[in-house]
Amino acid sequence: MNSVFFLIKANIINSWGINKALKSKSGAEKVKTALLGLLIVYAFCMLTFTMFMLYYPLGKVLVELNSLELLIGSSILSTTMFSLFMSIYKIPGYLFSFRDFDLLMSLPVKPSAVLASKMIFVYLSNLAISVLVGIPSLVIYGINTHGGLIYYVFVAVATLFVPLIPISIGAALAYILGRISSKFRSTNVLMLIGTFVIIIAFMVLPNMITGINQEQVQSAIPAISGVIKALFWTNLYIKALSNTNILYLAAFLLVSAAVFGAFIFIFSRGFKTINSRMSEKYKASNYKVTTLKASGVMKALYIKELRFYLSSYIYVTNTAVGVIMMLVFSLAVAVFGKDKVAMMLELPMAGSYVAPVIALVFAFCISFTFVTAASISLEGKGLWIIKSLPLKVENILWSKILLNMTLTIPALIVNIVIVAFAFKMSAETVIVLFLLSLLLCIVSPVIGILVNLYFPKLEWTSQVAVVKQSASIFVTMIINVIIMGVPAILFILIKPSNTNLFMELVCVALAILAFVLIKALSTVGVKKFKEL
Amino acid sequence: MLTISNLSKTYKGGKKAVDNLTLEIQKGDIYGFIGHNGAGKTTTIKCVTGILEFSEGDIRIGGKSIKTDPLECKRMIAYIPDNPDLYENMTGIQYLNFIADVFFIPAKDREKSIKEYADMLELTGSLGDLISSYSHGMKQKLAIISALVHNPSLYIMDEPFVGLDPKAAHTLKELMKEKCRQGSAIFFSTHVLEVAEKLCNKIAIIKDGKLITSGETDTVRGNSSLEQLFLELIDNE
Repeated sequence: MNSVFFLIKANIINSWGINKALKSKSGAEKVKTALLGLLIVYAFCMLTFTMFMLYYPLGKVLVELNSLELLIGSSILSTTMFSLFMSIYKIPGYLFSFRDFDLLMSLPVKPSAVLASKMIFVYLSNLAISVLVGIPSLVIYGINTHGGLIYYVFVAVATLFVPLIPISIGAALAYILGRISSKFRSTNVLMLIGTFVIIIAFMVLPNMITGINQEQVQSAIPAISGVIKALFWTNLYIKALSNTNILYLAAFLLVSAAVFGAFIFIFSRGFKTINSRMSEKYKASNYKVTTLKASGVMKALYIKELRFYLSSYIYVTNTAVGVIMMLVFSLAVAVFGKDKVAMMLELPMAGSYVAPVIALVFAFCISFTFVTAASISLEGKGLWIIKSLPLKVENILWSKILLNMTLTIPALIVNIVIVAFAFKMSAETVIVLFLLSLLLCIVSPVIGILVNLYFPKLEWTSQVAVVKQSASIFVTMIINVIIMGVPAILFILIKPSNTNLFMELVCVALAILAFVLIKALSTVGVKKFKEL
Repeated sequence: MLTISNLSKTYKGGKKAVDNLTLEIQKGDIYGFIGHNGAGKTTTIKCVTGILEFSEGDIRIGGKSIKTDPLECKRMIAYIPDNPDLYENMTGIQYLNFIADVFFIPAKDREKSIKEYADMLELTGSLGDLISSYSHGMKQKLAIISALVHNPSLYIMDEPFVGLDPKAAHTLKELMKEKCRQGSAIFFSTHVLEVAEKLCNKIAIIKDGKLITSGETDTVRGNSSLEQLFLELIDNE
């Protein structure tokens, strides 16, 4: 147990940059850490407020339907779904191909302790999100039922245990995928395909179920109740909280802890074998120098970036999701038709609102393709190579931006063609929509790389620390949300009659922003890179 | 070939890693840079190669300043680090091809030189494998080939013999001598005093970022061995 504690402690210190925050003597560094902390608190508060605003009216409706318990049900279901999704998405990066594998395996600790420490670390990372997703509906329930102190104590205790089962299920899926792919030479490709299949299934399936049951709100209640009954632990949770029943609470805690413990017990046996197999490299040692092809500097840099990108499972799964979402959206429009997709996503896609709403969906997907926001950090210990070579810093930065655009622009073209036909858009609308999205394909990666230059994280043991947990990703996400949010809010406030004109004005604003950012890249960006 | 004038480098925390260092390396020199751990050797080397920025002094390579003409300077040098963290996801040949692209080496020339040096260091068969599958010594050999492939006028090497097997170490020494005969210069750090004594025509000893002594190896050493001299200087300072 002690070794698990020490491993988690080392993991937290190493991954969350605690030492840097506490021991940095530089004033600028302290200000940067404080600002980042404030930004996180602000984002957390805003999201909590949004969740409250979502659940408050739902609470009123459910009181009238005498089904208020569904608030507790929706709390555990949404937390479970969210934790499950995040686990499938995150766990392969934590459990497999981690850089400190050799070090940890050489220490006198059991593989089960290493697995437990990694799983608890995933749990801690998921807990904040679980609180955010799960607590607001429980508070609304408490307000409507005048729940006392005991109810809130129950809520606090139960919330701590909610992520355990979904994390275990997500880890089991990732583990099976790892076990299969470790037997093949192209481990990375198989892990990538498998993960994307699971992620797409998670994106599409719940929407299809919502679409079927959405016609009558009341008819959804038995369906949700059915799901709750099928997932028996959710039933224990609901009974524990709705009746503040200590026995049901104890049962829920016991089941959750037992599932988590069972996962670690069962899977710790193969944990070392899978990681050993994955760390084995294919070696032929029969190379003969034949003809080599020369390329220009920019092309050489771009190929280097592309090779690195495609070789990193964690990098691809975390940055290509935006493009995948865009494709799922457009294919859904093509297969199910625009009306059904609009209903599934609860988007007002009718009349003149079609193009702005699609622009927003595309903007969201493009902004979520965070390739550049981690690209400087991912150079890690190999940064000396590009710094010591006779390369223009602008070329280095643009090769990374080009890689980002390689993902977004072709996907954008395909998606524009699909939606243009599906929604029978006018030529002007198609051009404006394309221009607007194209400008975002430029603006978003430039922002990402600039932010990464300000928040580099070059010392890391796992790419997860850079791709998922770094300040750079978080700040880039916030800035992108602001860039998307400002025109969206203006649109809602102004309610423009000529939506094309509105989008054209957004294009102009984005073009100016792109110009300013590109200038900043060649001045501040270059300076920052040299300081690394 | 390389002139370091009054170089000082202070890190963010306030530690002065290099303090007013002045050195002159000429064509044909094999210049050994000696000092204890943390003396400032790697920091100096990183400043010379343009990896680290510095606030005081100047570094000129072939008459050009690394501060004002970094690209021109970098085209003249090859750097071999002490711990070759290369692009693990590339194969050896992909890495060499990338370096050759950056230095605009024509396809035919790179094929010839890669084959020559890879055969010499017995790495040819492994060039098709991923760098992540290489041992430390193999990575070191690959870093050496990547330095040789563009035939620079100045080689900057940080502990180049660490991790090399005896045969590869011997090959490297011979290559170093050959390159200097052809007019290149080599500036390298080492802890192996026997190697420095036999290989270098000039040496510099550094302690806590400050230069203690420098010049022709025989003159600096006098009648004692380099090891005796080094220990005396380090203890007495």
